[in-house]
Formats: sequence, structure tokens, C-alpha cells
Amino acid sequence: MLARDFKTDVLPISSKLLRFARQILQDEEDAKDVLQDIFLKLWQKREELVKVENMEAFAIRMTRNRCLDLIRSRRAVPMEVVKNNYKLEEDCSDTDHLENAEMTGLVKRIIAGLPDLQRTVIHLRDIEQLEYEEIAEATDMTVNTIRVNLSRARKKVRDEILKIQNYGITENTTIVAKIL
Amino acid sequence: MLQKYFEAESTLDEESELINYFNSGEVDDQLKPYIPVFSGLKELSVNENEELGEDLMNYILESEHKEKLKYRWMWQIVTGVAASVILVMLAVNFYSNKDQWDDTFSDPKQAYTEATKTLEYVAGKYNKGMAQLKPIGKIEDAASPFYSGMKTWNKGIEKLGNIENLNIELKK
Repeated sequence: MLARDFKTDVLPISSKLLRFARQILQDEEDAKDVLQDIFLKLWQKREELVKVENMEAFAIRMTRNRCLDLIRSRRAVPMEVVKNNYKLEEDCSDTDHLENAEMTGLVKRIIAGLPDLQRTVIHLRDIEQLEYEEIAEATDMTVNTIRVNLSRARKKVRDEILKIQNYGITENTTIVAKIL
Repeated sequence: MLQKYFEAESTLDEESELINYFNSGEVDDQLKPYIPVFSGLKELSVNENEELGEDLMNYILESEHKEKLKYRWMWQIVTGVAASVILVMLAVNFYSNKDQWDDTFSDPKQAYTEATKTLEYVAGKYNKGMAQLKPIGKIEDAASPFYSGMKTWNKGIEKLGNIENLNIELKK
């Protein structure tokens, strides 16, 4: 693969990979470090990249593995920190009116608090808009397992959002619960 | 469609449609509680850092440059050590050979005289050897009448070659 092809085919995936690494590691600096490692490796192996059929799934898989290695090596439990932060903010949030930034932050924190598989699939599907087959390639999971985990993750996000809103808008939530 | 979404049975197009609907500002009152879900997901998929690719490319090129410098530095050390070893070997060789040449004359005239003496000695031995070969000359002298006789014989043989011509003429 030529340097020009690398810039057009591989570099544009960087934003997705950064979001994904950030989602797993819950740390901006660590995510950037992982991304630099990944892209340096991809650059050094660029001659072999022509054989890769789905570059995006391949790079996502590399990123996921690298992030999990990092977590294992540090024996870090980032989810615990995230969950604690989420609880603190949840207690003092004003649920009558959620601004865009607040909504984003809220969804982000709920997703961050999900179990690893659910977090990975909801991120790859709902944020990165990957097909089920691509997610399967990137995570080594079957499409059926992905669907099960995705459904659980989406319902968890929905339930958490409704629960937070429930403090102020009980009536609406009841109606929605009846619809679904 | 919303139910399909939560059961993970919707397609990407349907999901995109849902995101657009919940971010349109015209959401049915009953479904408004879902707005944070979809607007949050939409916000999360926005590219925040446009220059990320460029930053990464700079990092890659910088790392490659550092790697090259590292190898150049290693190469310099290796060649430096190799050159030092060669110099040491040459120095050892030079000093060990120096002992063999300790008897060399420092005065050229004396060296010339010694060389002449040596060559004269060799020439004397050579002449002695040649003198012992003189009896071979006597054999040559004794054989010379034989050689002259052989010359006369050869001439006679040549004349015999004309006999054939004489016979042809006689026949005629």
C-alpha cells in the first residue's frame, strides 16, 4: 500500500478508533496513546494491508485488543470509576430539562457503565454505524450474540434515561411504557 | 420501528431514520422521553477532531525519523568499534614486525657494503659450481669430429637424391 493510499483509506478511520478506544479506556490520553500505537503499526505493515478486506473492522479489532491488553496490564477497573461518577451526577441532575450536551453526556455515561460486550456492540452499531457482519469480524462474536447484547444494551440505555426523567415526568413515562 | 430497534432487529437505514426523527424537533409528545437516547447517540458520533489524521501522520513520520536516527547512531557505534579493532590489530602487527627488522642498517653506505659482500659471496659460490662443469666441455670437443663426419654423410645422401633424375634421363 502506498503512502497516498494509506492517507485516503486508513487515516480517515482514526476518529472512529479514537472514540472506540476512549469508550473502552475511559481516558483521553490513554486512548490517544493506543491510537498512535495502532497507526504506527498499521503504517509499518502497510505493504500487507492490501490483503485486508475490511480495513475498518480490522483496525477496530486491533484497537479493541490493544485497549484490553492495556487494561489487563494495568489491572485497572475503569468501569468502577465511571459508575461511581455516573451515580454522583445522577443524584444531582435536573431532570425537567435536558440540554443537548447533557443528553450526550448522560448517554455516554450510561453506555460507559454497561458490561464490556454490551458497551462494545452498542458503540460499534449506534455510534459508528457498522453492519452486524463488520462487528462480528471486529469482535469475534456471532451475529446472534451481537444482537442479544445490543438489544440488552439499548434497553438498558432506554430504561436509565426513562428512570432519570421519571423524577419529573411520571405521566409521560407511563404512556411510553404502555406503548412499548 | 422503535420496538424493532430495541430488539436489535432494525436495519442501519431504519436506525438512521429514527435518529433523524428524534432530532427533527417534531417528535410526538408521547415519544419525547426517547429524544435523549437518539440525540445523545447522534452527538456521540460527531467527529470532534478534524485534524486527528494529520496529527497521527506527523506522529508516524516523526517516529520513523527517530527510528532512522537510532539505527544511524547504532551503525556509527558499530563502525567505530570495528575501526578501533582494525587500528589495534594494525598497531600490534606493526610492533611485532618491528622486532624482526632490528638488524637493519641505519647507515646506507654500510648497508651497501654489506649487500655487495653478500652478492660477491653468492657470485663466488656460483663460479665454483660452474668450474666443476668444465669436463662436460671436453666431451663436446671429442664429439666435434663426429659432428663434421655426419655433415659429409648428409651431403652424400642429398646427392643420392639426384640419382633418380639420372635414371629418368637414361630411360629417355
